[in-house]
Amino acid sequence: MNTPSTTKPPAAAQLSEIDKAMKWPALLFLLSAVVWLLTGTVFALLTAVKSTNPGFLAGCEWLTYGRVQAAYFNCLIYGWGGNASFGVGLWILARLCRKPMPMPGMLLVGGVFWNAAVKIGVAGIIIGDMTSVEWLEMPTYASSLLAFASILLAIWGTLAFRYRQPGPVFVSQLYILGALFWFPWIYVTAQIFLFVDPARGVVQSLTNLWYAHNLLGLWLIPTGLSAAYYLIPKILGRPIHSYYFATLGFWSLALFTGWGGMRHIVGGPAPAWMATVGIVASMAMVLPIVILAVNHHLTIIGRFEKVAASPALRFVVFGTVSFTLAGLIGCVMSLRSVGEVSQFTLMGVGHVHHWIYAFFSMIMFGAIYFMMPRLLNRSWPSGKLIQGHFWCSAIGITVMLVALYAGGWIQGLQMTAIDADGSLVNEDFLQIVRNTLPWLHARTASLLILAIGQLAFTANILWMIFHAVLSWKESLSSAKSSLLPETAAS
Amino acid sequence: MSETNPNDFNQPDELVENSRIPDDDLLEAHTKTFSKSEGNGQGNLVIPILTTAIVTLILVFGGNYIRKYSADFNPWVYDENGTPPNLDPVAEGEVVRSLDGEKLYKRNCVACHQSDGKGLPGAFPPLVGSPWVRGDPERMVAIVLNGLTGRIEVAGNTYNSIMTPFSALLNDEEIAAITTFIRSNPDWGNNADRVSAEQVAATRASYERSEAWKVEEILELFPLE
Amino acid sequence: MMKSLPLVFFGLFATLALSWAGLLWQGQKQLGGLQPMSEYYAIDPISNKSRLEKPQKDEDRFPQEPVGLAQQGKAQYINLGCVSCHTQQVRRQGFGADFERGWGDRQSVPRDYIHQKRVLLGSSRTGPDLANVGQRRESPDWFHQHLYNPQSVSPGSTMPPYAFLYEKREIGQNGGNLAKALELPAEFAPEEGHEIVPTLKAEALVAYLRSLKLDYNLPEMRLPDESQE
Repeated sequence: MNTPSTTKPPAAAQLSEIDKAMKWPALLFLLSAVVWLLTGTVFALLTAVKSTNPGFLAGCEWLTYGRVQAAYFNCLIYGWGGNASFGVGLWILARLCRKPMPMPGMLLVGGVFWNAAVKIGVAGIIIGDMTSVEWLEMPTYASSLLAFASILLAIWGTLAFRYRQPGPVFVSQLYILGALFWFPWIYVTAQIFLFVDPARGVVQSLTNLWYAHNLLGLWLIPTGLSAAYYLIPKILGRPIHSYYFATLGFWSLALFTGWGGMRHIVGGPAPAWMATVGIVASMAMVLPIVILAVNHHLTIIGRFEKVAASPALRFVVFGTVSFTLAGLIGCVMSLRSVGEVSQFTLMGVGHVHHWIYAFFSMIMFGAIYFMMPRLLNRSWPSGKLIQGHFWCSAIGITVMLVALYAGGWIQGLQMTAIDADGSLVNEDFLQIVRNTLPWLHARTASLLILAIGQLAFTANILWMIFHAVLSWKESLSSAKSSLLPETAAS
Repeated sequence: MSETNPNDFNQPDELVENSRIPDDDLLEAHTKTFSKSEGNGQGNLVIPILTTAIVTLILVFGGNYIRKYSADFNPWVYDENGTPPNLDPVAEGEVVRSLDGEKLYKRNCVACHQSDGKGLPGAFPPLVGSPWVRGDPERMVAIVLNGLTGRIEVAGNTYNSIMTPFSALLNDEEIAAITTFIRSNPDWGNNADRVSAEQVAATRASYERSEAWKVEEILELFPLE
Repeated sequence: MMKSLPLVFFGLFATLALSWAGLLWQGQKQLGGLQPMSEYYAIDPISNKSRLEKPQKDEDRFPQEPVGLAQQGKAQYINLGCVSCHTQQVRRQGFGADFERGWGDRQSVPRDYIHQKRVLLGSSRTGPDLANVGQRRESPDWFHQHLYNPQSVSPGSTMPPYAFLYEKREIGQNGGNLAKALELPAEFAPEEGHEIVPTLKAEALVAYLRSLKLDYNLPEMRLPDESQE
């Protein structure tokens, strides 16, 4: 198992110091992330059941479909996604800056504020203060806290990079810095244009599309990519294939993503050029997608026995494959002829889950499996639970994506089909709704599978923490007993 | 916290995920690929060619697509194949045709003359079959522009109320459309000539006055046919 | 690889600033100054100024400001999250089948939204588009029945019932409220001697839904000729 390089003592001692400095902030983010993941899944299950059985818990205004659905996405994106991306991203950043980072307190404050904001925001959605602006549903009293926390964390990240140990820079650092810097910018811009001083008419919707697209493309996706870039060579002990294109991949992703959101307004109340520009930008994403696919997949090729044996790498590789697939599907869905059918259907929900779950979450799971032993200095209690988590996640998300893509495509075809003399093929709208039900049931089933995996994940973490606390208590009492004679003597 | 090297757990891989490069080596190894453009040996020619091909494709496709489907970035074009709408009907002389006299009538006249044009018995005279609205268009236009007061006899009934002036409320095109609608409405038994905006403008210019017409004045200027 | 922090940050800033300027700033420039317009008069697309010599009257200018009760209803629409299943945008003819489904007689254009303090275009059509629902459905009763229990008028619908926006009352109490009470098919009706009455929230929501109409012309987008008759 050991390779000669890991036994270099100076590097090893230093890394340990870096992890020690990041221990509490990283644990705060990661454990909060897991709690939010589970909360989100509860809301997701409610949403899924309600979408097929509208009478389920319908008497309760707080749990009406629209609110539960918004609560689900906010838990998933800001609760799980935000915490995971800060926990994993900042830890990788600190490691690659190769210096024990000062001011972990700043991170703790940022983390506490972030989580308080999400809690208040989700509660606000449930009690009826939601804004109904996609992915910005949190009421303004929560979003200001969220903005503050994200700015604080971005400042910390910038300072960490500024005072890093001089030397080379790795592409993961670029992705993390980008994510840290872009999130506050898009978030504050969207808040101003939408709520503080609302823009006139459709400009609000353009802002919303720009924000939502960048939230995925310039925040969650970069964090996931940074973790993939870091973990693959680290675990394989092999440099990234064609690494010299990684920078081009990063900058082209940064350049094209911002424009891509406009493809969603195709056919809608906006000048045609906006959708056109969005489509071209979405197609141009082929460049970063191919570069990343080459870098990620070609590094793995020929090392599959390692992937199969490794807890973290399994998840990361699943995530990078999902990145390639989701990216290419995004390109196809952006085309006008495809968008005409797929727009407003379950396919949109499916594509979002492709990014957030099949790509981002899977890589975050892998990163957490890599990080936790190093933060707590102990191994995972059960390899079986890790296996179970992986297979439940992989199967669950595959079932969900197939159901939403296929169901959505069929739904779209039925909604838009027109026969030769210009009349509707499927005149009865309610029949189209009924036809989606089997697919929605499949989604509920897939969520249950995902939930089982998440429970295995949580059980493993709790078990690990339980052991860590036990041994900490032991060492404390043994230290006490070794101290006692001294104090008595003095 | 113990001082063990977290990179070196000596545990089975399934439970800790041993890492095989320390971060220093990771950074160095990758930085080297920049200076020598080495990668890890293979694909050095394939990848640059692939990248160049993709960039070229993006430029060609993107350039063409934008040229074809952006409608010159015109804010009024919503269909990527569409042409800009004609936002200049005045210059095209289309206003009178596109003005909807019926709508204007409903907005401005129905309060008194009612939507069926029959007026209110004893209060407001009818327009249906009324000699006052047929014949010389100038008479009707003058009344609409400047209003009317005094006893008036229409279709055998006498009315005595006030008609408000519209010269400040409606422009020439609108008055032309309303009067045309009333004068040529077959449902009301009227089939007089259309009124043009120029006629309204001419009437407006020749009878500028501040108070409403008296019925006698109108009859003197424009006797009923 | 970039080592310099200022250079990295300039890159991060510039890439996002480009899309911000190209889409939002440019969008604001093109669409941010739209005014309500009479259907008859031209506007100069460059200066956005009206060619009309005298000012137009408010009642001739579209879209018109929504009235108070409808505004309150919009707040309900927002806080119940209706936007998660309903869009409010009619796509242009030939793109999808919005016209054929009877969701609108003309497509939505940016000017239609200028009075809205919150624009709810939506991104999912689990339910039908609502941009023109006020013209499709005339009767407030239909809306109330549908909101109280969608199954009563649209069997098989997956829309949740909003019964919590309605009150069950004993008939004859508080002087009775028969005029407002919902007429429901037997299987959805409350037990004998009771009636279902909309709360103010429900009244407002229905007023809002009924106010959603695309029945006016704009200089840049007219209704087809036959619908003007």
